[in-house]
Amino acid sequence: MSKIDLKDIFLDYQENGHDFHALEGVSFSVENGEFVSIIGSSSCGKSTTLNIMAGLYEPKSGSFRIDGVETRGTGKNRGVVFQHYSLFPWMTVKKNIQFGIRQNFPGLSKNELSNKAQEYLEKVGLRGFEHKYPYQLSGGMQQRAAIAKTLAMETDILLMDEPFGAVDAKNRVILQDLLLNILDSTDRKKTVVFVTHDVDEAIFLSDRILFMNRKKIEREIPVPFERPRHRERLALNADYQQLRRKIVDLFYYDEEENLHELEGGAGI
Amino acid sequence: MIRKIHAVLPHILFVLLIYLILQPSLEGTDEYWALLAVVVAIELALLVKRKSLVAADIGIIVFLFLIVWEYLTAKAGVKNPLLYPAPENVFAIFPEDYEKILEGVASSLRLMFTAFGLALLFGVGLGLIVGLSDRLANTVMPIVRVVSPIPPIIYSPYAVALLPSFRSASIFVVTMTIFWPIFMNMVLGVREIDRKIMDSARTLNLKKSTMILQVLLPYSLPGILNSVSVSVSTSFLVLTAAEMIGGTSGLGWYIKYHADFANFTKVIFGIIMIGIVVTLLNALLAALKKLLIRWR
Ligand SMILES: Nc1ncnc2c1ncn2[C@@H]1O[C@H](COP(=O)(O)OP(=O)(O)OP(=O)(O)O)[C@@H](O)[C@H]1O
Ligand SMILES: [Mg+2]
Repeated sequence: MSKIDLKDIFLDYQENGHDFHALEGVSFSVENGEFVSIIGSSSCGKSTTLNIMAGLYEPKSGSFRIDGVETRGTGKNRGVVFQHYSLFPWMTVKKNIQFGIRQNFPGLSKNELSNKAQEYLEKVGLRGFEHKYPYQLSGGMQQRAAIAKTLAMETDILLMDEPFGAVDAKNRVILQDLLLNILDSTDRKKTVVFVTHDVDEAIFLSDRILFMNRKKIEREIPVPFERPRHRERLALNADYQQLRRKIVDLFYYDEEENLHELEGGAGI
Repeated sequence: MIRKIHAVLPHILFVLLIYLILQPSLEGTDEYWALLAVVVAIELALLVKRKSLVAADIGIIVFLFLIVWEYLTAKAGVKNPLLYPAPENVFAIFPEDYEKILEGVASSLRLMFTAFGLALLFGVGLGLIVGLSDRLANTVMPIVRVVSPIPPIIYSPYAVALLPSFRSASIFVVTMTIFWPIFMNMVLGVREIDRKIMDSARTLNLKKSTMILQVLLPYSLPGILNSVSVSVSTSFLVLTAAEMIGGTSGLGWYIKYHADFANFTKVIFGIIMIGIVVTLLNALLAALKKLLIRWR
């Protein structure tokens, strides 16, 4: 049984009175402990798909199962990191982390709460920033804190929507390494679904890449490289370069197809 | 060079003003001790803020004003001293009348704080209830948009007739002045909370009470405090106006009472006191805002 299973998911958004089809038959599964990336061009429905898994939106039709159980709404088995605002601006970094922990572990004493928050804070390298407010941190540090908060909730499933999308190139690489290191170092394997635009990021992090296009998952691409992965060595690997080319081509291939469609359409 | 002159100018004016005050005054001018105390207090405040050019500007204006006022009334005597009292006489009111004045200030402030407490309680409470329900909000808000722009002072005569005492009527009218902006801000805070913040809150599976206390309230707090600081001056104006109409205590009453006896020295003093009280209230709110909202 897969950890996460989506079958034939449809979703419409209401827009000026009429329905806009955002997802048209999204199907895929994620195995327990697997790291899967969803990649695809803008507006293809990546965030919408992730938000359904988070329980923020309800599909119009289709089945969404976790551990085989049909699921609707948010739940303590899933933690979510967004590109922005995963932290409450009115709480300090540590308070934010503690707040997340308290929701999933209501029985903890004040001390245990503080220790647990501190532990995750230090895992993401934010020692010394405990009492800063989010606005006092750089974008990269905010995302570190967001990751610490979500990891500290110790959910089975981690859903991430372009968590490094607003971070500069150098910090992006640092954060990718940090995320993999933390995931590798925990004994209980987490199941991760990670939305990104960045082909290299997707390959470096994932076991499998889902290429999304035209409101559904169009391809599933396995990423066969062994872990732990080394960025520099991977970049020199011919297989890596071939895989990378293949995925980049998927983006362009589709654009050409769209062009043909447009031309054909204009002719009629 | 110009900056330097700019910085010392208020202090030069201070010396000039002191010199002028110490010159012999016309008959009918009171002792200058109270006035001197006020002038020295302003100078001390300027010395504390001597780095600030804005403070220097304000000092220049205040001292110039006092010099002109002092010269025209106490020294040159160009106008009717009953209508244009000397600053000596105005500030001498304080040692003479201070019990009555402090009592008036205290009475006005008690009423203000009561009204603020009520407005905060009902504004936040009702705002939450209305904001959290689509149906209530859709029904109530169109009505609110018609009723809320009516200045509450307009229905004060009716409030006086309905409520048991003048004081309760004043409390009602002042409360309404502050209630609307708080209520509107709370409803808006709940209904138009940034979707990203709401999404991230929802993923935490919060209990309803936690959602209200830890998310919706802190999110709406800056808007509420801003609306309160905007309405604090208006509501004090409403209050003093009410006291002038029918009060038996408070600063508004003090001014009206002495105006009826054509004692404009006391009227001017009352006006200055109102300015001071409003400024203090605003400063109190600014401090509160700083204390409560450290997160941006
Ligand atoms: N709340 C909403 N209401 C109406 N339309 C929406 C809403 N959210 C998304 N859409 C639309 O649905 C489509 C898919 O949006 P979605 O955010 O899932 O795309 P995405 O793949 O995450 O894009 P991006 O890479 O830019 O983040 C887009 O055309 C978008 O405009
Ligand atoms: Mg998106």
